[in-house]
Amino acid sequence: MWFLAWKNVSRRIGQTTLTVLITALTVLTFVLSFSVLSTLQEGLRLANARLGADVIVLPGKSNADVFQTIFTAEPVNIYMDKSVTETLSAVVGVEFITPQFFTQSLDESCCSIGGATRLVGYDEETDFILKPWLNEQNIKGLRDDEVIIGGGIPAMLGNRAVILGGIFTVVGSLYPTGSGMDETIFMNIDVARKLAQESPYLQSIWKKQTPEELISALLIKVDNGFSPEEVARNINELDLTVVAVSTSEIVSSMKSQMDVISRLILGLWSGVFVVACLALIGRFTALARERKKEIGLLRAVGVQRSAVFKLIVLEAWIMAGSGGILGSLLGVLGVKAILDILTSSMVLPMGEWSGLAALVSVLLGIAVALLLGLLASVYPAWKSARMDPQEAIVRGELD
Amino acid sequence: MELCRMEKVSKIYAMGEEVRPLNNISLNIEVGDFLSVQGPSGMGKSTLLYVMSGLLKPSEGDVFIKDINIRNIPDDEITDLRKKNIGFIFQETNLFQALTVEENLRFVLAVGQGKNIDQSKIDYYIQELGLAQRRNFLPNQLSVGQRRRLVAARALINDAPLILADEPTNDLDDGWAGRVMELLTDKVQEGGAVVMVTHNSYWAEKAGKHYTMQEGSLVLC
Repeated sequence: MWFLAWKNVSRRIGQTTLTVLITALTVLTFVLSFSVLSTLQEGLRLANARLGADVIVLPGKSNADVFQTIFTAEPVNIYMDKSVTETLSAVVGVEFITPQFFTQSLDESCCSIGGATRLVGYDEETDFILKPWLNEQNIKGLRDDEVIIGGGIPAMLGNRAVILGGIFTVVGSLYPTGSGMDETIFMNIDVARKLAQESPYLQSIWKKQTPEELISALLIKVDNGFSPEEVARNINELDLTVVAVSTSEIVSSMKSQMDVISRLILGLWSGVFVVACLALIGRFTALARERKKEIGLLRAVGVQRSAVFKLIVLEAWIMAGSGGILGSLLGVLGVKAILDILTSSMVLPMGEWSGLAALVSVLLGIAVALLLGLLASVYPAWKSARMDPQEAIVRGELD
Repeated sequence: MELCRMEKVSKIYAMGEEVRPLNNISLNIEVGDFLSVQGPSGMGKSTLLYVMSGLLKPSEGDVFIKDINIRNIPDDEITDLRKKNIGFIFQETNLFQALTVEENLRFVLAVGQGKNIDQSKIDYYIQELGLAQRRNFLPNQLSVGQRRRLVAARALINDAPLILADEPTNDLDDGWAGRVMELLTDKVQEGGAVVMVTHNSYWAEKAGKHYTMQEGSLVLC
C-alpha cells in the first residue's frame, strides 16, 4: 500500500501541492505561535529564577520604568544618593543589599555592540547577583580593565572592547536570564563611575552631584520568613523618594498578561486548525469521490476494506507530513525574526531560542500535521472503505 | 472440479418498477469451461459477472465460490476468495491512474502473491499484449486499445482459476482481439475456466458453451 499511496501522491502534483500548502500554512502558524510563546514563557521563568534580587529599588522621582529597567537593556541614566543604601539595609527583612551604578556606552564606542548599551557598575563587596556566576567560573573579581557581558551579547571571551574610550578585556559571558542583564556590560562600580564622570558626552548629567555620590539601583535579597512584597511595602512607606518593587510581583503580573495573550493566540490558532481540517476533509472527500472507480477496482482485485482505509489515511499522512515538515522548517526560520521584532518593540523577557527548542518545534509541528491529516482523512477513508465495489466501478463518476 | 456455482440466483432492482436483470439463474462453472454469454446491452450480462464474483450481492439464491456459499460469510472472506480465485476483465478500462503499465501489473501481482513478485510474468504479459513500448507510460498516455489489453493482462497475471471477462475484445482490432482470446483459451487449457460476456457473435461462438441472455435467464445455444 505504501507504494500505491506514494505514487498516488507524487503523481498527482497539483492536488498534492494544494494539500501540502494548506497543511504547511497551518503548521507554520502553529510553530510560530508555539515557539514565540514558549520562548516568552521560558524568558519569564528564567527572569524569575535568575534575576537574583527579590526587591529592586529605583529613584522615585526619575522616569525610570521598572519593566524597562529589568527587562530591557535600554540605557537608563537614573540616580539617587548612595546614602539610601545604608538606610535601607536597616529595614526589617532585608538580608542582603547591593548597589549598582548605571551608565551607557555611546553609538559605536564599544567594538562589539552597535548602539548605546547599558553599562552597569556593581559593588564587588556586597554583590550577590553576579557572585554565583563568578564563583562558578572561578573568577575572584574583576580588575579595573575587565568586564563581563550579558548572555545575549555574542561571545567575545578574551577579546578586547573599547568602551567610552577605555580598553577592556571581556572575561566572561553570563548565562541568559531573559532580562535586561542579557544585553548589559558589567564592570566594577568605581570604574563605571569614573567612565561616566570623564565622558564628555555625559557631562550634562553631573550638574548637582558627581557619580561618586550616586547609585542607580539597589538590589535586595530578603530574609527567610519575609515576603518580597512586604519588604517592598516597608521601603515605600519610608518616604525616601525611592520606589521599591518586588521582582516576583512584576514577573507574576507579566505572566498573567502573557497567559491572556497565550489563550488568545491558542484560540485563534485552534480556529485556523479547525478551518484547515474542514478544508482538508473537503479535499480528501473530493479526491476519494474522484477516485471511486479506482477504489472499486482495489476491492475487486482483492484489497480489503481495512487496506483501502489505510491507503487513504496513508496518502493524507504523506501529504500532511510533507506540509508539516515544510511548515515547521519555515516556522523555525521565521521565529528568530519575530522574536527580534518583539524584543525591539516590546518590553518582554525572552528565553533562549536554541537548537533544541527549534527541534522540539519541528517535531511538534510534524505531529500537528499528522494529527490534521488523520482527522481530515478518517471520514473519507471510512466512506471509501464502505463503498460498494460494484457501484464504485460501474457508477464511479456519479455520487 | 467446480469453481463457481449459482443456485436460483435473482437480482432485483426496485427503480419505480421492479427490474430483474437476473431471474432464477442456476449455473455451474467447472475447470476447463469456457462459457460465453451473449445478448443485447442492458440485459444483465455484466450483472451476472458481478454477482458471480461476489462484488454484487444477489437478491435471491446462493453463489458458491470453491464450494463456499458467499451469502453468509463476511466481506473480508469474500474479498479473500475473490483475490485467490477470480480475475476480472471489466467492461470499462479501469486502471490505477497513478501507476505505469508495469506498475499496474506489479501492484496487482503484489496484492495476489505478496512480496515475492515474479518479474517474468510481468514481462510475459507486457510482451504478449504488445505493451513493451509503453511499459513506463501512465494509463492516460495509452490508447483505449492499449488500456483494454492492460486490463486483460491484469486479470490474467495472478493465475486466478476463474476469469470473468466483460467484453474483453471491445476497442481491439481483430489481431489483438484474437490474441486476448488465445490467452483466455490458454487459461482454460491450463486448468482454469472463463466466463465471457460479449455482444460480438464471432467471439461468443469461439467459447465451448455459448449462452444468450433472455429476460434475465440464461439460454444455452
